[in-house]
Amino acid sequence: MLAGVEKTLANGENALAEVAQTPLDEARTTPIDRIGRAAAARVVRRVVRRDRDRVTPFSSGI
Amino acid sequence: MTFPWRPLRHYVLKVASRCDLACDHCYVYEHADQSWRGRPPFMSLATARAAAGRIAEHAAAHRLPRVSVILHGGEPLLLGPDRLRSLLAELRTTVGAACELDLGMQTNGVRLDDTYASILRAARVRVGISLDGARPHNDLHRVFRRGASSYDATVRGIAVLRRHRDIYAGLLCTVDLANDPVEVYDALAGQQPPRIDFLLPHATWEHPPPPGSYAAWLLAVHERWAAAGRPMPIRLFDSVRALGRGGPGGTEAVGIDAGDVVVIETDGAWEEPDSMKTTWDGAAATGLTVFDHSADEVTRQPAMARRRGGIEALAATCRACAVVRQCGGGLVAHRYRPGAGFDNPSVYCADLKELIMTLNAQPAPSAEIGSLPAEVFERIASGFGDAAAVEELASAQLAINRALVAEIVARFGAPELVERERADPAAFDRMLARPYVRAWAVRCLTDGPAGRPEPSGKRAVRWLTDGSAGRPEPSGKFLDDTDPFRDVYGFPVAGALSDEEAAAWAAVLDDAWQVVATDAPEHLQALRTGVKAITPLQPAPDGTQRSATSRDAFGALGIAYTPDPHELAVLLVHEFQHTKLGAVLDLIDLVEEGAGERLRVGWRPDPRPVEAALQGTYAHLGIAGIWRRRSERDPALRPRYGMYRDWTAAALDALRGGDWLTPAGERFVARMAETVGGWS
Repeated sequence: MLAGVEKTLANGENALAEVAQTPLDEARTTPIDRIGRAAAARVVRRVVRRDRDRVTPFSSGI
Repeated sequence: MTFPWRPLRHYVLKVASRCDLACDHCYVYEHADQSWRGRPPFMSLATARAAAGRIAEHAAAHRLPRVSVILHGGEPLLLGPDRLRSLLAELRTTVGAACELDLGMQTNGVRLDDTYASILRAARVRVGISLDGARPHNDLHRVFRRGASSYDATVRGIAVLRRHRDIYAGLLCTVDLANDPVEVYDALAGQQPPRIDFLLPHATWEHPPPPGSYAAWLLAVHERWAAAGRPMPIRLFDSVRALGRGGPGGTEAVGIDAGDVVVIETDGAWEEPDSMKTTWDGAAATGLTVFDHSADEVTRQPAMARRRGGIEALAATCRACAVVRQCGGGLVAHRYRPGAGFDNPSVYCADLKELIMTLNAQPAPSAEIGSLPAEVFERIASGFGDAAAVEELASAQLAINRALVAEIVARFGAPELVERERADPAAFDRMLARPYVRAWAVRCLTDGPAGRPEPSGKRAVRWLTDGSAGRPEPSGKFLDDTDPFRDVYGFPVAGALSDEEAAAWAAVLDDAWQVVATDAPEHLQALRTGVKAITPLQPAPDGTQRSATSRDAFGALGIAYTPDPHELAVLLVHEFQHTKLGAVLDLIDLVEEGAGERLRVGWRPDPRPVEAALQGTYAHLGIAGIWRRRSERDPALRPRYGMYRDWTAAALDALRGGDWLTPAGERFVARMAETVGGWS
């Protein structure tokens, strides 16, 4: 079991669904010097090293 | 056997046939093919012009929206700065007239300095560097002619790319089982590449690779990379995953769709990809040249057709294999066996199969870093979103900033920040919620604390903790004309405002908020909650409107001054639409990774990448809503409302016209379409 995994009831049935803590869940609730490197690295990869455009410039005479 | 025809989209331009290194695993000089000996050392400008003409001709004839050209060698930087500049200009001019051009270069990095970097930046060339790990790993093969290590020179070249991050494409590492895979991965990751790729050493059934398990080596790298949170893409692993989902592979090394690459040698000869040089002398030759033969003629060569023949062109063993769509028989050259040609599985068959099956058995990694409550997602997807929805987005943005600062603390050490959080966690979070904190953090993490005058060590931390670091106070509520990290908009930002300018801004902003309340009341709460700063941009020289949003500055908008509050109100709504959607995209993928399609939209002449088209559509939904309300008061404005509504509706149709949206993206676009569908 991963650290930070919680269990919730799914669809009103007795089946237990495991909901893993996301990197942002960890970042929200953990002091910055204790946020795991793997969680931080996933955030860095997503927002810093993203291939797609970061800026939406607009210029128009309409 | 006949194979389906496809145009060529990827070109490898051999601009130099010699190299300043003497790597013993190089397929150009050390394997069967020795054709380099008879070629000119450099591609002449006349040959480059002919090659560019053929590429442009092919793109125009087949209406290709985009092609890629990779400058290769030998060592491409042996060209020298002047020849390189001229050659790049020729490619940009000639190919750029026919379609969009992605330019790249694969180099050993030894000669890469700031002079070359400025030339490559000016021509928008993304640069990949070959590096096999740390010094001892790299020194096994990548040495100068007399055996001296190339490691220091290459690492200096990589440092240049870290300073010019926009052209840093990544690192290419050739696997050697003698090296420890985890040490190699750690050394590569330490160079902070935006991407890594691993190359199996070229081999055939006649000349098999050194014995051992390549799958085990690669899986050890994968385990380390996954445990580290996959901090950058690794192409081989990502390709295997993407192919497993039915998507594109994006590499020659795996997959059955890998045949759109062709090589142009320094003398203008059309050739098959370089890996063929590992089979027999002359194996890559087609007998055609750019002077006498078109790219269409190249595609009709039997060898090129077979390369692009998909599953039907593979050996019977491969066709019957469960993972054939992900493996694709590996590289064509690796299937070669004298007597049987290429009608064999890859010499790496067992390794590729083990790698793919092991990765397939592991749960798919999610690139997503968070989630939104369903009702918030739905409200924003409808085109609007109230204050509570925006607060939810702001909370996620704060968490992103906290994770980025955690990484900065872990990498560079900043005990002041840790102490400050311990002393007053709420005040610390308020500090991290400021609009340009992410821009600051991204600069720290891409440039490093000592890479630039700003941010540098304690001074950077002081910027964050003081909120000023000696800068003058901003000119007024909502206006931020002084933050040193506000230059994130692609347009130049204005300098500090004079008192008169600040007063004019304040007056027009007051009026614009009134206009928003009247013309876009459903956006007012969200804007009032989410917009923390407006950064003045320098006005456009031709007097047109100018505004922008950056993913690195949630809560800030860049706008050039306009005295018209009605115009400013539209810009506020327009830009905040981008802010909201950008914050959603930070958390949730709405467009499939690798979606390379471009969509036509009414508001721009050029086709747009899918995500950019989605951003534009969401912004125009906001704009159309304002003009709809205005046209209700003044029927003379109905044509203008109709134009924005029709553009938005047509773009929504285009977005729904392919398989490039994720399930969440389909839901998002469906909600937008419901809103627009309710407008008459």
